[in-house]
Amino acid sequence: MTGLIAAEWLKTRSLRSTWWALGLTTAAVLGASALDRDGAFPLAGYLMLIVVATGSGAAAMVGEYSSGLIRATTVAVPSRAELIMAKAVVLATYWTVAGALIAVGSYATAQSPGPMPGATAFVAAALVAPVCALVGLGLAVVLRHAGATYVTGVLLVVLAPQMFGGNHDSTRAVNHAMIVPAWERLTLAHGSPEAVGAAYTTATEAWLVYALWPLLAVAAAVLAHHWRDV
Amino acid sequence: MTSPLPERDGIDMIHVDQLVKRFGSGTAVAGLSFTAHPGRVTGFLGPNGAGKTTTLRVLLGLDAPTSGTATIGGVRFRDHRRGLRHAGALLDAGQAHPGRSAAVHLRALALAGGLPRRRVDEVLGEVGLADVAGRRVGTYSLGMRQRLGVATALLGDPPVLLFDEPVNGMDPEGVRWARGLFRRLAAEGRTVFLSSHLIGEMAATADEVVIIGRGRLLAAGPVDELAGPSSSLEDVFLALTAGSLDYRAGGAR
Repeated sequence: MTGLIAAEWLKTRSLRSTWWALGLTTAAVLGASALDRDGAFPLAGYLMLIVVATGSGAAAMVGEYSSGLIRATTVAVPSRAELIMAKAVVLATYWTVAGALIAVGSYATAQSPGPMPGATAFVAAALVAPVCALVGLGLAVVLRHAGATYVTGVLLVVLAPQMFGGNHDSTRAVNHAMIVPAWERLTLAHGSPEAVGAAYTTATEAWLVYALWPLLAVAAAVLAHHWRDV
Repeated sequence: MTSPLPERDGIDMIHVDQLVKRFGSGTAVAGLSFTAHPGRVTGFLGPNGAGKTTTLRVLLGLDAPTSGTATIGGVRFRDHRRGLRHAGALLDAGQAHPGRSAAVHLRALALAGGLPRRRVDEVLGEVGLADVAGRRVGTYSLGMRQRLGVATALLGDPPVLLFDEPVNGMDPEGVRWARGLFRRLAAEGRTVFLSSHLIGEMAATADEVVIIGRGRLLAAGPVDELAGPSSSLEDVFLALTAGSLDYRAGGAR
């Protein structure tokens, strides 16, 4: 498994797109942080990070399918669950490190950071990237089509919380189960829970959202990749 | 039939038994059985759509059979955790990400397959890509990508090799090189299984042929027994496959 993880890391870092996507995203978050009066973790910058991380997770598999590399990979590694797990480990690690550095940078460059955010806010700001990357990976394996994967990713992660943004109980329940609202709750993007009221979910539920989305996405990917022809 | 080399037989043979593969309502392989033996180049012939590629995909564990079995060395390929030491394959030229160099492509596969790093340089030298190994695969010609595919197949130094249309896009020098390589791999005692519809190329390279049409076996045996002095392998092939063509020039019949 170590060799397989090393292989996936080599595949990730050998693509130029890995590095310019990271550079652009960092610039977007830090730029938004320096320009906006939106606290330590500005939503505008973080939406960019969320989209890029989702896309990056998807690209780890879309690239295999669209180039035909998946066939060579599968002959080398017939154990399909291991391949998905190795990709998940590399994506989670890479985006956790990147997410943590970006969170610190965002706070440091913030024009109006406000009071020092708590550990919860920092950790939640850092972890939204790996959460989204793993969701992207899962979508790519399940959907297998590049365009469908990227469109669904953006719909699911960024637009769905907007569409379910109403005041009705049922739409609010859906909204609370999405990643961006969980990020907003944990980083206190719209102020303290007391000030925001029912538009926020609870912190526990928000952490549950952070845990369940990637878990279910990777589980679906392992199952789909196991049962389908490559 | 000439007897196969007995000492390695069973260990490294390709064995397909009553293989059926359906996709939705279509049947790509319909009860196919054959064996390919070590020490020989076995040609796998059939018209377009005969089921050659599907058979190779099932052998390599990419597709699951609907029924029947396809094994390499007596083992279903999917039962291996790592595959490259057991078999190598060139399925088509598009098996590498265009954004990575040939060296990185092979190094990643070697890492994933638990192979020593020196194998990368060895196979790059073997296929003549050592000088361009640092270039991105997207800049390669079709012939160069085929050579990279051959390098990928050789990476694990496997006893069984499967090639699907390996000389597509190769120049005459490349075709001659590939022919020599396949002969040498078989002489080393490996099982070399070569799918193609270039009959002339096959007559020049293969010891034995397996001819299929519409997913069924039409004939199998040594080339020199199937093709006699009065009929070429091409004559035999065309006579055998006349009833199993899915696509024919000059309109539908």
